[in-house]
Amino acid sequence: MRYLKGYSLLLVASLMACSKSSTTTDKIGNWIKRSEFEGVGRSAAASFVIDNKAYVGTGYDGENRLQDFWVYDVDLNQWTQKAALPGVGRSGAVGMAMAGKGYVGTGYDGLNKLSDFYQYDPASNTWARKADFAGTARYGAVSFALNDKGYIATGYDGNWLKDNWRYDPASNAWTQVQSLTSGKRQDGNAFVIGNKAYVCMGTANGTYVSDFYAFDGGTETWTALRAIDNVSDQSYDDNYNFKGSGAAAFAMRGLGYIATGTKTGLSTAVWEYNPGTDLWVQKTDFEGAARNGATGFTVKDRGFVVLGTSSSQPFDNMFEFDPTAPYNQYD
Amino acid sequence: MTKRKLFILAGAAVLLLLLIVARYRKPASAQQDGMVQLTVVPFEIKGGWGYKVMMDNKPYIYQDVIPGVAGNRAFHSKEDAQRVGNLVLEKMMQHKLPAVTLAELTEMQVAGIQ
Repeated sequence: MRYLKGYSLLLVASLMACSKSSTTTDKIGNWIKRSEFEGVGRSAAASFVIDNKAYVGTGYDGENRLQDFWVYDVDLNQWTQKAALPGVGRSGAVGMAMAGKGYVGTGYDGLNKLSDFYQYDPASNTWARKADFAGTARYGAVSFALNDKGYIATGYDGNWLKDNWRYDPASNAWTQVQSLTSGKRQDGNAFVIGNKAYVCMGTANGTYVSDFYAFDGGTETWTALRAIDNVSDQSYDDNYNFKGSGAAAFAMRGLGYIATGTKTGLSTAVWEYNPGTDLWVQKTDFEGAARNGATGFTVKDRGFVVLGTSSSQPFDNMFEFDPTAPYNQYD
Repeated sequence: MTKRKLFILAGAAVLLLLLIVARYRKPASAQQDGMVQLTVVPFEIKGGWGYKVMMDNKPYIYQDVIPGVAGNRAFHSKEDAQRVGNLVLEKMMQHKLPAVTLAELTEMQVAGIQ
């Protein structure tokens, strides 16, 4: 009888230990198919980089136009949700960073083209509304920052545009500067190398634009570069076949990159631009699925392509592009 | 007497073994090909709480501030961090965006949110 008592006490104690361990666990967990995992996936997001951190937000998830904003740590491969953009959810907005602050404006809410413009302070995690973009309300513009001034150019306001506007954060004011000579477009790309912004890609009137320009931040003038299509009698452009829209762009180590986007179909192509020679060379294809509306950015001179969408599915995944390494399908 | 002691000892040993097995056995829905596990883990930060949403034991979302609202405030309590983390996980399981809105935080009566 005594041993029975001891045994049952032990049993009760062990049961209690068992139930305790399961109730104090801090985790709840679940399983999801990797192929169905979308995470923060979206297309046509706005982004900017401050202090080696990439801020990505707004965009379209296939159902809604979004207001949420996230910061992405490329070293740890993790996302943190920050304060939401105070304006309406939108896609096709532009983002840029000037003097340690982020800026997001213009875009499309599904009904209206937008011209509102906001400043993000990463230290306080707050947004402040700034002077509305002074050009027409639009989406699918390109943006870039030179000398801590921001520029918004091209886009679609009901017509395809080639105008260019400068934002001065010190005076909170917009000034129209020189327009592109030709090459109206929406959903184009811009990347910055040195004190110049390069504008390429995009679509207008159902045609992909081949006009390619550089904007000098010192003189605030545009220079036409060689077209990004096989249009010359010379051989340098015989292989040029990458004009398209909705691509991701970034610049690193003095070179510019265009990846993915829509050409005749969704693309994985990657092309590298050398401003010294004004020539493009094709690089190893993007490793992920072909996609449209992905976001490209550069952190610590490393180029990344994130998000984007195929015909139906928004993607969460992120890829770093190393332009000099031999291709390794297993990394 | 010694027989009884031995019996108790043996019983205890068997139970201990069972406990160890129960504790370290993989969950019933063990790793399958092409499946990833999502888990919420609260953590202490800045005199408050945050949460991590782990994907295959690596943080996919690292939330050290209350998501979606202005300011750098941590959650007041571990419970709030856990509840909001669970909401994020549920959204991911339903193929929704993991973003949290001010309206959701208000509805959940997260402390410090008006």
